[in-house]
Parts: sequence; C-alpha cells; structure tokens
Amino acid sequence: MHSVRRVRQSPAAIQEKKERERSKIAEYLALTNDLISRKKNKDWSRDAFDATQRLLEKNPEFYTIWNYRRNILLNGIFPSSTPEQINNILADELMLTAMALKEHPKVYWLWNHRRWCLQNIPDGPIVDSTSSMQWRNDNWNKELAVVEKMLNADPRNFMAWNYRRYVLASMPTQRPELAELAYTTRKISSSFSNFSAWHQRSKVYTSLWRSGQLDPVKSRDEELELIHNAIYTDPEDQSAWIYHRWLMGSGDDESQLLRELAVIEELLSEQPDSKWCMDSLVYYNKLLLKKHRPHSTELREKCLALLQQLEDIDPPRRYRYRESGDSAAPHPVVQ
Amino acid sequence: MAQNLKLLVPLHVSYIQNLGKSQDELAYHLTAHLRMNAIYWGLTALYIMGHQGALDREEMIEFVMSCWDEEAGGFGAHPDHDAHILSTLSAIQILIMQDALDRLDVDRVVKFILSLQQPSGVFSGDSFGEVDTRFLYCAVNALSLLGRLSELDVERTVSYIRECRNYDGGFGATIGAESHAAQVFVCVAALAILDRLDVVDQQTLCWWLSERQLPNGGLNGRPEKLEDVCYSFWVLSALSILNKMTWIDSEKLVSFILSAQDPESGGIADRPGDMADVFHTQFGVAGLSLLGYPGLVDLDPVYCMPASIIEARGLRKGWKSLPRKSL
Amino acid sequence: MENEFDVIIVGTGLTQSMTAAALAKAGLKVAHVDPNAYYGGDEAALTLDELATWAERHSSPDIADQVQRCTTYTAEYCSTLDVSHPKQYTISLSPSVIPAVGPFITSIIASGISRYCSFKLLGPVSIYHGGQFKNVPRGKEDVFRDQEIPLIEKRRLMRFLMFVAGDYESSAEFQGKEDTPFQEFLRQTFSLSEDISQSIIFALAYCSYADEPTASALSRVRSCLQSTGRYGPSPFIVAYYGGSGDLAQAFCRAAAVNGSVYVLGRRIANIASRDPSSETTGGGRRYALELDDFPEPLYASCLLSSQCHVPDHLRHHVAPISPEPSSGYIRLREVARGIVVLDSPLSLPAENDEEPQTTQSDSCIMVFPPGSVEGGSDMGAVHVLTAGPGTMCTPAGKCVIYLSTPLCDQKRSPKALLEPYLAAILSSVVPPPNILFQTFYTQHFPTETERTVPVYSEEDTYWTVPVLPADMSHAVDYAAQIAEKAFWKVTSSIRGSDAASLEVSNGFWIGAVNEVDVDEDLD
Repeated sequence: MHSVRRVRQSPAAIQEKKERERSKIAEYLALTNDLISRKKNKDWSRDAFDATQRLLEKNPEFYTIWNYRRNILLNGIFPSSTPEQINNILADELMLTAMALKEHPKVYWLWNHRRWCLQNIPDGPIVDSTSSMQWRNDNWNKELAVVEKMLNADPRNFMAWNYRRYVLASMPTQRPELAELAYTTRKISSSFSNFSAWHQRSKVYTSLWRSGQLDPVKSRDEELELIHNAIYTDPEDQSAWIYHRWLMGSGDDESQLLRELAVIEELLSEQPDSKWCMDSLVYYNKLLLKKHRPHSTELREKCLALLQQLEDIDPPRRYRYRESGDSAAPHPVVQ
Repeated sequence: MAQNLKLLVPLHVSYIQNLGKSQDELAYHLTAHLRMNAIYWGLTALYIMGHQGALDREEMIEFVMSCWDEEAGGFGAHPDHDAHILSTLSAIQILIMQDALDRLDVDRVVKFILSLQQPSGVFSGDSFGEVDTRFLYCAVNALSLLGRLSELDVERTVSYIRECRNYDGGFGATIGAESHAAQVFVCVAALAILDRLDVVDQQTLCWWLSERQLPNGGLNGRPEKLEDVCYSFWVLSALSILNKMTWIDSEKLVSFILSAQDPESGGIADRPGDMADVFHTQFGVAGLSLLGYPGLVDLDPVYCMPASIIEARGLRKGWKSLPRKSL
Repeated sequence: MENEFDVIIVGTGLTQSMTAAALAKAGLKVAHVDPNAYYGGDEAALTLDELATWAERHSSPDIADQVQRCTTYTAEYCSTLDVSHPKQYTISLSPSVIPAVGPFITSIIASGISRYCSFKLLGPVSIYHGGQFKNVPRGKEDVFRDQEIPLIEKRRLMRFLMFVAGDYESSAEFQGKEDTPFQEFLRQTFSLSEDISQSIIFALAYCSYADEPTASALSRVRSCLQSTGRYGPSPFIVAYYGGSGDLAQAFCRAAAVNGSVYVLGRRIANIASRDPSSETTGGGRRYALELDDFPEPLYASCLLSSQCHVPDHLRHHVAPISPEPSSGYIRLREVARGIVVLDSPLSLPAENDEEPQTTQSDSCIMVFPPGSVEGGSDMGAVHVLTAGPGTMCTPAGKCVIYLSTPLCDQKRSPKALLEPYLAAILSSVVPPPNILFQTFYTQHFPTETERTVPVYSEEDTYWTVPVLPADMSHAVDYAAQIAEKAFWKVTSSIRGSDAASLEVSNGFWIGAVNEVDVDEDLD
C-alpha cells in the first residue's frame, strides 16, 4: 500500500467497518464465484461480458477476469460482429479503461488491456474497395491524448511513459520525432526535476541524430545550454546532471570537455558547497585524464582534492569517493 | 528519527500470521490476485526473522497446489485464477522453502515458463503478452531454482537485458524505458544467475544506485522521487550483488526502515506513518538482513530467499552483504 | 429589545465588514451602519457614471479638516463621460489583488463568503525594463525558463528565493539588517544585479521605494512566494465586480445572514455615551447612536468605527486599533492615482509561452520601477492593475487600468506624473487602444493618528480602525489583520474571559469553512 496514511481506529470503529463491509463482501464473492464458474463453462455470452465489467469496476486488478473478458470477445462476440461493430466495442473498452485509469493510474492490467484492444482494432471502413486506416488511426491518435492526460496528472508515471513510447512506436501513422522532442521540452520547462522527460529526450535525440534529422553538433550545444540553465538554477537537482553525462558521452571531444569543465568550475565558485559540481568535476577530469592527458599529475591532484572535499560534505557516500580516489591516484593502488 | 528503534520481531510475526485471518475485510478479497505473492513475502519475512514455522506448513502447501492451473501448466495467484509467471515463481519459492518441491510437475512448469519467451528474448507474464524485464527475471530465477537453466536460450535473454541498459547504468522495464531501481534489481539478479555480470556497467550503475539515498536515509527508485522502504531491497540487492554495499550510509537506512514500522499492529509501511502491508514488511526485513541487522537470518539478494536454502542447492553467487552485527 | 446590540459598527469598509461578519458568526448582536448609501467606504466599487460624479464632487479639495483624520481625495482631471453602458462598469476606489495565502483568503474561506463572490487567478505580473515588459520570476521553473537572466544571476536569484522561503529571520545574513534599505541588502548579501533587484523590490515585495526597510520587504516577498501555486501559477487571485467593494458587501451579507442589522444612507446625527458607573440602566449599554430619520436610537455596549465617523466630543475617548509594528506596511502620505478606460483589451506578452494551453486572465499587473519611463518618477515605482470583462468589471471588449504611485514630488500633478506610464502601456499594444474615459486624482491619507487614550485598557469600548494602505498587493491582508484584532477586542469586552474559549477553527472565524473556487479561463 503506497502512501496510505495510517489511522488509529477504535475497536468499535473497526467492528463497525466490518459490519458495513459484510454485505459488500458477500456481493463481491457472489459476483466472483458466478464469473469463475461461467469461465470454467466457457460461457462466452454477452451476459457474461457485462458481468465482467461489474466485477472489474470493483477491482481493476483482477487479471483473471480481464483475461476472461478478452476471451469472451475473441470467442463469443467478435466472430459474430462486423469490423465496424468490433471497432465500436473496442472503442468502448478504451473508454472504460480510460475512466478506470484516472482512479488507478498504476494498475498494469489496465494499460495491458488497452494495449490488447489497440492491437485488435480493425483497420477501417472499406473505401473504394480498399481498406482505409481510419479506425486504427483514430484510436491510436486518441491513445496518445490519453497518455498525455495521464502524464499531466503525474509527469513521472513511468508506466505512462513506457506506454507512451509503445504508442509512439506502434501508431499506424508515425508522428515526426521532432514533435516528441517538443513534448519533452514542454515537460522539462514545467519541471526540470522530471528525469523521465530528460530520459525520453536522450532516446529521441539518439534517433534524430541517427536518422540525420538534426545536426548533432549544433543540437548538442543547444542542449548543453539548457542543462546549464538547470544546474545554475538548482545545482542540487540530480536530473540535469545525470543527463549531462549522457550528452558528454565518452568525452572524445577534448575542447567540449574543457568548455564544460569551465562552466562547472564557475558554478562551483559561485556555489562552493555544491556536491554535484564537485562530483561532476571529478568525473569529467577523470575522462580528460583517461582520454587526453594521461600523464597530468595536476589533474590527478585536483580530483583527489575534490574527492577529499566530497567525503567531508557527503559522508553517506564517503566510501565511494574513497574508492574513486584510489583509481585516480598516480600509482594504482593494489587492492 | 529515533536512534534506539528496534525491529519488533514478535509483532511482525503476529502481523503476518493474522493476514490470513482477515476474511471479514473487503480488502482481503480485493487482493486475492496477489495472494500467492503475499504468502511468499510473508513466509520469506518470517524465515529471515527466524520464525519460518509460524505459518502452518501443510495448509500452505495445500493452498499453493490448489492454485495450479491445469490448462496452462502454471500457478495462478489464487484458486481458479489464471496462471501467471509472477505467481508461478512465488509458488516455486514457497515449495522450496517448505521443502515440498516433490509436489510439483517440474516438466510442465518449465514448459510453461519457456513458452513465455518472446523472439526478442524478453518474457511475457502470461499468454496475453505483457512483456517486462520483471518477467524475464521470474523465468530465469524459476528455471535456476528448478535446475533447468540449460533449457533457456541464454544469449537471447542476455541480449534483451543488454538492450534495456541505459547510459546511467540502470535498466528499465523494456527497451527504451527509464532506469528504475526495481528493474535494476531484476536485471542485475538475472545476469548474476546467468553469470553474465559483465553486461553491467558496474561503476556507473553503483554511482546511480548510491545516489538513491536521500538525506533522511531512505532510498528512492529514480532521481528526484520520494523514498520508499521497498527500494531498500531493490537498491541494496543490486549493490550487494555488485559488492558495493558500503557506498550508502547503512545506519541511516536501518533507522529509516525501522521508523516505518507500525509499533502497534506490526508490519512495515512504505514510509513512516503510512499503513503497513506484507510487501513492504518483507522488503524492509530483507533490506535489514542485507544491512547486517542483528539477529536476522542471511538473505540471498539474487533469489530473495534465505541464503542457506540457495547455498544448499549449490546456487550461491558472489554477492556480499554487510557482516551480521551482534545483538 | 430590537434596537439593543452588543456592538454597533460604523462604516462598511472592508475591515469593518469583515469584523461584522466574524462577530455575527460568533453569535454577537451587531448593528452595522454607514452614512454612505453604498457599501465599501473607501474601498467601494462604483459604476462609471458614479465614478464621474464622485470625481466631480472631489474636484475641489475637501474642506480641510484641521487634523486630517479621514482619507480625502483631490480629483485633478476627469474626462467627460461619453461611454456607452456606463453602468456595466465596476470601478474600484481601492484596486487590489488577494494573496492566495494569507489572513484575507483565510477569512474568505472561513466566513463562507465565497458563496457570494467569484474569483479568478490573476494573469501575468510583468516589469518594465528598457522599454519592454518582462516576466517576473517567482520560482525555480520561472528562473530556469527565463532566457534573459545570465547564468550566475540565476544562481544568485535562486539563492535569494530559497533564503526567503526558508527560516530567514534567524539567519546570520538577516540579523541586524532589519532596517537596511532593501536594495542595499540585495546587493550586499546576494550580489544581485540592478535588473533582478528591481524585479524583487517592486514586483515581488511590491515596494514603492527602493530603500524601504529590508524586514518588511522580505516578509512581503515571502508572502508572494508562498502564495504561488496554491490556485495556479499566479500568487494572487482577483474578485469579480470591482474587487474590495464587492468583497466588503459580501462580508456584510454574511453578517446579515447571521442576524446583523444594516442601516445605510442615514447621516449619524449624534453618538451619546453614558458612563455605566453613574447609571443604573441595568443593561450595561453605554452608547446611543442616533440616525437621521430613524425613529429610535440604536444602543450598544461597544462601538467600532472608522476614524472619520467619530464625533468631535468623543475624539479623546476612542482607542485606535493599529497593526503589529512588525507587519511592515509603509504609510504613504499621498498617492497619485489614475483610472483609465480603454476601448480594447490589453494583451501583454504571455508569461509562459511554453504552456500555451492556459489562456491569460485579463487582470494583470504591470510594474514600473523608478526611472524606467522618461518623464516619469525617479523616486517611486508605479504599479498598474488591469481589469476587464473576465471579472465582470467592464463590458466585453473594454478594459480598465488603474495606475498608482506615491506622490513624492509635490510639484507634479497626478496627471503629469502618470501620463508617461499610460503612454508606455498603450504603445506596447498594436494597434494602440483608444482612451474612452480617464480621471486622475490624489488620495491623501490621514496623518498618523495619534493615540489619544494613553494606553490600551480593559475598559475600552470604542475603537477605531485605520484606513487601508495604498498597497494593492497586501491591503486586503492588512484589513484582515485589523479585523481580527477588532474581533478579539469586541468579543472580550462583551464576553469577558469566555471569549478566549471560543472554538476558533480558522483565524478568528468560528465554525465551518468553505474552500474557494477559482474560475478558470476556458476558451
């Protein structure tokens, strides 16, 4: 049970609650038993279908009943339906689960059921003797709007983000990836603590660069500027710092490494107690050492001094800093 | 946070014992789809607290067997519920902890599990096809416990995990998904079982994991999120498998877990002041065991089962928890 | 008897009206009278034709009361009223916004007056720098998004914002600096640049001058930051139908629902006081208030009044209620004000262009720091509030703008002082709107009322409330603070020590609470 506050109840109040629940339990169990026996008897009727809805409204996590519901559709209802009817039925399914998601945004089974529905949407009405993609397009487009609503309500809901990626990848008419970049920009600008959005950005950029839709050098520079704005605004927010490491990659570009080191150094001099500044300076200086200046004792000493400071200001992670220091030491310490 | 809090073992034992006796509460029935997992969590927590006999063995085995889904060849979470890989793994773990694996039709279960592997290497949870690295872990864990790993397409399995690895060192639920501590646990533990920890960028991942600890000692599952007791296990198990338990402040974490106990009715909650449940009770106790909390039984972080049982099956991997403190 | 009360309240300004509502809710018998025929006193909302009449009435200086005890007005200029549907305008004599966190909003909620009023979130607050309107950053995301603040300044500004949001009173940076001029404090302690400092001083603390004391300025910045996010991105909400005037009337309505008696538009003929020790009337009534054309006097054991309604013979009898010295309200002597009606809405640049889905409210604030407009004031800031059809203040397509600035240069007339600002506003809109009506006037505040009774006494039964400060951002909170003090003085006088045992649920309000609905602009 997540984030449900504990309340002390008197024995009398507990007893009273139990009294109140008795009839609900009887009703729930009767409904459950009825459906389980219908399921065993392979009852694929409309009546059984409606009964599953009543039970799922009470308990959207009852996965067996979702399975049964899908089986009723597959074995009982679809075979006698036209494609248009199937489309309507599945659109209703999507509506039903969208309502349930508002109340239960993290129930896997709901997302799962939507996925199945979308996969089973018929293409569309026949126009000029060819099948149009109208139904599929309509429903997948709507789906993206549903996910956006979910992400407005909780911008960190990882199920919604995972599902969003699935929807984007599966839409019959693909959206331009630049639209997804703009979406993450909006999410980040309303909260740059939203690491989920930064993460999504890393995936979108990778793909945009790979396909040649964006110039990696120019967009990387713009992206670094965005990160600078985040780290200067709140140097203690991890999201942008972690993303920065992705953007810097393996540090092959020495001049970029030096430029970023200078920006972080400047921030550190403005905010001398910033742990993330120091940690990042160690990380990028080590990259510099490894890739470009393997013999610099000065860089090694700088790292060691910063690590010493980090041990002092961030004691919970002191052993990490100590081990990191061992690997930065001029002569590798034999363990 | 009080420094002198203690783990309230007798209270938690009776809390777990009472869970099965609450048929007069609606919530009990609404959670039937988690019953098998709940029994696994309860039994493991009891085992780690040294009270594995607190629940009736025969009754438990009978319950597990009553959840067998003859059609699918796996276990559901409750009698008459459909087979799913989550409840199937829990059933196997319970039968092993109760030394009753002889009741199991191992060949059929193995067939069920292997049938869930997708061409990409990941596993689905059941025949309807939701895929997730959690299910992949369940499959690898179960096959290993049953001694049937040789039947798994290891290369394909490992390659899916590798595809899920993010630049922060962590792993997500599917390819492209954001790193999440629970998914880190399932991926790292699966790789440990398959002896493929080379796939892990260990430095980066342990850096990311150690940054999950918040100033109050608790751990979160992703950057800039709230702490939660269950991450005590997800994060710690991975750190322990990668031998970096010292990279967080164990004392502060112990205090945080203990502060989330319900001192009146027993059980552990996600965070202080919230309602306890058996899931957080198990993962709180599991975390404390890895942290060397005195008086507890060693937990194997790879399988999330008592270490002695895993050792007896010859499955122990090279993980390291903190030394057990004396009382 | 029907004309016997626990307390008679004179004047229906915001402070008295809130006090009346709270006392009636607590079960006291309240009579509430106002010689004006309208509610709201100095905070009244007038229709446009009433405003023109009002300006005409004030076109010559009010007959000087030797010691100035009331707010007076001198209208310098008023254009002829050639506007269609003048009655569809509600113009506030005390334009103000409501902080989303603070004693006033608490009172709105606790009194239940939200039943009678509607509210809307204020639109953007912008500050005029270098000939342009700029956004005012209030929090982390604003600072992050702002494309004009240099990186180092972002860090410094955030450090300041975190400082104010925290427990700064006990910090070493603050102690000993309570009276330091705010601008100097910002420069010395946070190394903030001129531009950023101006945003903080004039658009977060809403100071009139850059050198106001640090302590009071900081407390206002904190109030602004705490208010951000409660009902939306703006720290302020605005009330429909002219703001404070409508709110005062709503409090009166709540008081009436709880049994208060209202008499408006009757001149106070006399207030007689009887000394209870020399009388044996038994009821303990001390005051008899006679109204013109009213059959019988109203009797009460306490009186609460605005200064200007105190008869001369009782002037040495009243105990003024004043705010806590720490509350940080700067008293201005004279304020230059302008009210201008335009023939089209003012649409300033959106505050957050990343989230285009939120449409702008037509009420917004514009802040002009000293020296920002050529020909304007080099000393004081000009604050501008707009209102329009979004809060039912004007007919569709029209807009009213309120300008105000402290009148520190006695040689300048309000019109001459404010017109350059008006020009700057109008020229920022394409095409520039036309002016339908305008009036400029000076508001003269009472000279600091001196305590005529040496110390507060348990025996006090006649209190006066001060006029509201000119400050448009926090005047209503001031009213609530005074109302609360007045409430406790009256209840303890009537109920003695029992007053302390009143079950107060929210501020000084008794009983149930009603959350406020803030209307969203949807179109």
